[in-house]
Amino acid sequence: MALIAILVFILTLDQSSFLRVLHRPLIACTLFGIVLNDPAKGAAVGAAMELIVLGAENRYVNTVLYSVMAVVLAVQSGMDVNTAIASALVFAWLGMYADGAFTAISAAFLPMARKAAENRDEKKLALANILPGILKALLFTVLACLAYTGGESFRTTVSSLEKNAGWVMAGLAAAGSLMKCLGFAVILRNIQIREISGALVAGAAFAALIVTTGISGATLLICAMLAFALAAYDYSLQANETAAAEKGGASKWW
Amino acid sequence: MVVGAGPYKNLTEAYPLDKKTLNKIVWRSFLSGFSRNGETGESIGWLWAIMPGLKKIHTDEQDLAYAMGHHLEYVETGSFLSTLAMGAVLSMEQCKYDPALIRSFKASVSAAADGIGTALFWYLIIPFTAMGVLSLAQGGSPAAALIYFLITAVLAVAARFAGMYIGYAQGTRLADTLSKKKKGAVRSIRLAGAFMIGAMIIVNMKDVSAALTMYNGSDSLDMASQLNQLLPGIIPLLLTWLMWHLLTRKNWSPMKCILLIVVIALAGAAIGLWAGTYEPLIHIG
Repeated sequence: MALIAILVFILTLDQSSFLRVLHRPLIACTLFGIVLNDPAKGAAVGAAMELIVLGAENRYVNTVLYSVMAVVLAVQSGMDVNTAIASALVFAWLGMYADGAFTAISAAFLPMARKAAENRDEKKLALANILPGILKALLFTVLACLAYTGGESFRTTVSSLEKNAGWVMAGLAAAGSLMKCLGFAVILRNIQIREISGALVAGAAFAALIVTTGISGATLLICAMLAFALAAYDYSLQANETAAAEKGGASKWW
Repeated sequence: MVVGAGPYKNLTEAYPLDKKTLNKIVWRSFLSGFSRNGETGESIGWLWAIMPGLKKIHTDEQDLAYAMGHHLEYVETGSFLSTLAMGAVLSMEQCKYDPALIRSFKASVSAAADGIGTALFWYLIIPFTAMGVLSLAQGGSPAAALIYFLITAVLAVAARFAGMYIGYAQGTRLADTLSKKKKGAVRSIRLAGAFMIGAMIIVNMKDVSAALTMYNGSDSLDMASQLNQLLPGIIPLLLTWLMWHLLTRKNWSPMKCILLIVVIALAGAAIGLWAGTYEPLIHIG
């Protein structure tokens, strides 16, 4: 139990920081299997879950809770791999939305970070960076402990929560994503977007075009290439203008 | 809080950063994801990671506070190649470019690092390694996890160091080229930055999509595909415009904007507007 709690704590930290590979289901489930004295079953559960997660679009899905409960069900209740993964699905839901809601709430640490920036206080900044991570890891540790000790009754509680208050969790998670719009708006204000709003619209249009073709993994990369091309072209255009102006007279128009 | 409306006070170029500082930033970058939040992405961790460099570059106290302020604005690097963006941005800071240029440059270079890192790790290294050890794991061998971890971990660490040195060297080269015509460079890079922010609004907000289905007797209308016909990503685009409008025209504070977003998000979830597996409070249509 204590070992599971420590593992969940570390893996939740790894989900957003460190190497960001330790929390992958294949590794996480094997580790939980080792702790629960059945590494073989842990590895088998991990392999099956890894396949599910590999196809997931969102790279920030939190599978730590899902991993631990699937392994617990497989080892302690003696379920076979696929049944355990299916039975633990409700914890995938809990992990995903708890993570999303926490992302929304972590914005509460921004005022602290801004204050630290005004005062050039590096220690306080480090605190504003580490604290949300530790709080999130603690939250998931508590959830995992509840799930582990609560057993069947906790699972039914979560299921009924999903049914009745699922929209609140989904709303908070959506808020966590939608808040980025404010982050973008602040940059747009500070770079005085009005004069160059055409480039913004062009970028959005290009990204929308590429996203709909389905090769979404490379969208940002392709857009970045286009952006650099745009900047290089604009820069060379100006270089020609200034060179002509230095020579004297206007540039030839014919 | 509008920070960075003008150039830095001390415009003398700083000394190049030494290897020790760069390595320190690489190690810090491993801890920069903790504070990932909805509003500004990884910005707190990003700023904390590049602090050793910023402190060496900005000896003027006011400039340092100013730089720290604008580095707290939205940034998302996808972690795996975050150092590539860090190195490139630091080389620009070192030349004391206008913060307007650094902001735009940061937007484009961090999105590029995110794009390369995502393609390299999430679509290439991780799936290939996982597939390679999968049959071993299915057979119940814990060694599969160890091999998986070792391969990806070594590559992840190597990518961070390579990213930092490539980013810093290339950034310095670019900064030298641009320094001859600083004024023109500002316009070009601002264009690229605006372009990338437009792209990021669409790409980074993909997870919020409408999923409303309206029923009329036996006929149903899928709102998500209808909205996609109109323009994919229309919700985040409109919301970003609304936020910009409220911030600049109506002088709203960010806190008020956040509250509005939470209300919109909860209301949307209540009627089942957002995609996902949940039971909406009210079924409409």
